[in-house]
Amino acid sequence: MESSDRLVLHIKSRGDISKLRSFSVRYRRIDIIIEDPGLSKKDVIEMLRDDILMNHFRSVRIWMVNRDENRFYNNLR
Amino acid sequence: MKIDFIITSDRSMMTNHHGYEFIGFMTTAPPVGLPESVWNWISMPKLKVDEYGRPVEAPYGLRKIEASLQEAGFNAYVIDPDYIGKYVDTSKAVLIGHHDYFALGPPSSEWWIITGREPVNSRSFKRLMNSEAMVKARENGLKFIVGGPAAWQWLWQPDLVNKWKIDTIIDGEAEKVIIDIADRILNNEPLPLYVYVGVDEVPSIDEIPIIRHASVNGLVEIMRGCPRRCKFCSVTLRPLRYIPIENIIKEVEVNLAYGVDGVILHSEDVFLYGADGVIPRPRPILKLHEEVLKRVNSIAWSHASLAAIKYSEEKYKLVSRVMDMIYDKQDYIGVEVGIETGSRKLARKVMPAKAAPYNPDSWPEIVIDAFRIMSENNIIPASTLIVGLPGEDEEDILETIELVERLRDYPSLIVPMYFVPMGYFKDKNWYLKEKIEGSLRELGEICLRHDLYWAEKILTRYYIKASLKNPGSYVLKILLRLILRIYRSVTGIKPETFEKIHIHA
Repeated sequence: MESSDRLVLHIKSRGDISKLRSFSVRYRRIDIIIEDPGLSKKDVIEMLRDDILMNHFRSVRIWMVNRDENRFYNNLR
Repeated sequence: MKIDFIITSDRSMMTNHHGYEFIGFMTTAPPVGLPESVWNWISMPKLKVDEYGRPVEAPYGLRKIEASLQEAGFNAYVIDPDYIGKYVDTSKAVLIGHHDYFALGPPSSEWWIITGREPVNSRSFKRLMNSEAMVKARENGLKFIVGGPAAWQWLWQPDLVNKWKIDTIIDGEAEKVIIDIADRILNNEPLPLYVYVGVDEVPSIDEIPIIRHASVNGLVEIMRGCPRRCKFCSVTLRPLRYIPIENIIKEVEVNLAYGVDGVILHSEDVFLYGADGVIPRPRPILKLHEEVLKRVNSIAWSHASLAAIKYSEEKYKLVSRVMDMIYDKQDYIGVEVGIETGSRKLARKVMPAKAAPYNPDSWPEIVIDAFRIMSENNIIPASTLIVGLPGEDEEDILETIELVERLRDYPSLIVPMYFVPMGYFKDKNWYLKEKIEGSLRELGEICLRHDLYWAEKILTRYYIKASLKNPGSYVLKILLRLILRIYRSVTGIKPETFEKIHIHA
């Protein structure tokens, strides 16, 4: 999902991390949605820390999809 | 009392350090030469609380979050850590802020590296998170939101994010984003694991709420952000905002209403309040001090820059004029200043605007001039050096040693801090213990000698004036002198190290 000032990136597996490295600076906010239920919070932080979380200055949200996927997306704002 | 949101921190934060803000630095060290309980009594005494466990004073950042949530209609209060247990059966969330959760920031990390022992701030925070009240809060399903200046440290403790069931980490100014998070909690909606507050989400001046209850030692913010853009600093990533004098006065009056009759003006650079970029302007600074000093009994500054001190005094005699106003209340003022390096090369490379409006090539001379001006005006600086900056070499360290030696006649503290990646450098490696040898060790020893010499004089002459009205001040003074002597005995440094001494007071 992409709008003029907001980018939403879906991470389905660790392999998708590479696409985060190239996100454009034109977005004011980036939402990273972790859709791999096998990942813990620790896994997510370690996976994103060096390349993303320690290396950005824009608004960022990281979301982890829970079991009720429909409810999650209904409440994503 | 109904509380949905418990706003809190551990004892190292929820304290007023007996009214002596500078003693707060003791919470960044491990206990040295004293039992931890005595060390903690000195550095982090309990605060007075009301019948609901709400402290009379609380950390300013927590007060801002409390004010934001209360203005938005939420039942949110700062609660003393000893009273959290009263609310864990009925509340929805625990909101925690901290300056240094895991002692990874300066100067805690230096003490940890030097002594090999964990500082008391980190120990205190772990005690809180493992306390019966917090265990019960987790069992009851309360949400845990963590933030504050040290929010970044959770990224280096992901095991504890799992273990303590942290729901959301908020990194940045949280006054606006906390409203959405609180809404989500009450509506049982998904929470983000991590929020970084970028420029578009920081509050504007109008969106920064006035605190509703007293802050620790009367701390009041006068500006946010900094125009100097030093590459090692996270504050410079935030937009620059000057808090209007009327808002500052409102907060001073909130503190006065709770019996806190002193003020700490918090800013990255007090002499840049109302400035034209990096050029100080006398009028806003004089007006600010005039209005504040009409109301309070004592004043302190959090930070000032050396270039602004030099420029203000040489161009407008502004430092002297402000101190003349302050002398009606007290005979000195303390302030934190950043020397950071004595190297002209590093000054040019990593902090080119720190010297502005002067040339960074003049940085060592700016430092010396500013120290002389402060000494002549009874301003006692606690100053920092950053060692281990990216690109630093042996020559840079030797230049820093030379600068520290040229400062030895000026009453001051000089603390070398090991580089911690924040600001534009936040993806760089940390300074490692094994690198501290040779000239770096020499720099550390010179600073320690400087500090041990001046600390006792500053302590006895200025800082803690023992009084029969406050018998605890005698005990405090004795214990602090004892700690200094222990340090002297451990390091072998004698008081009569310097031949030439100037005290202008």
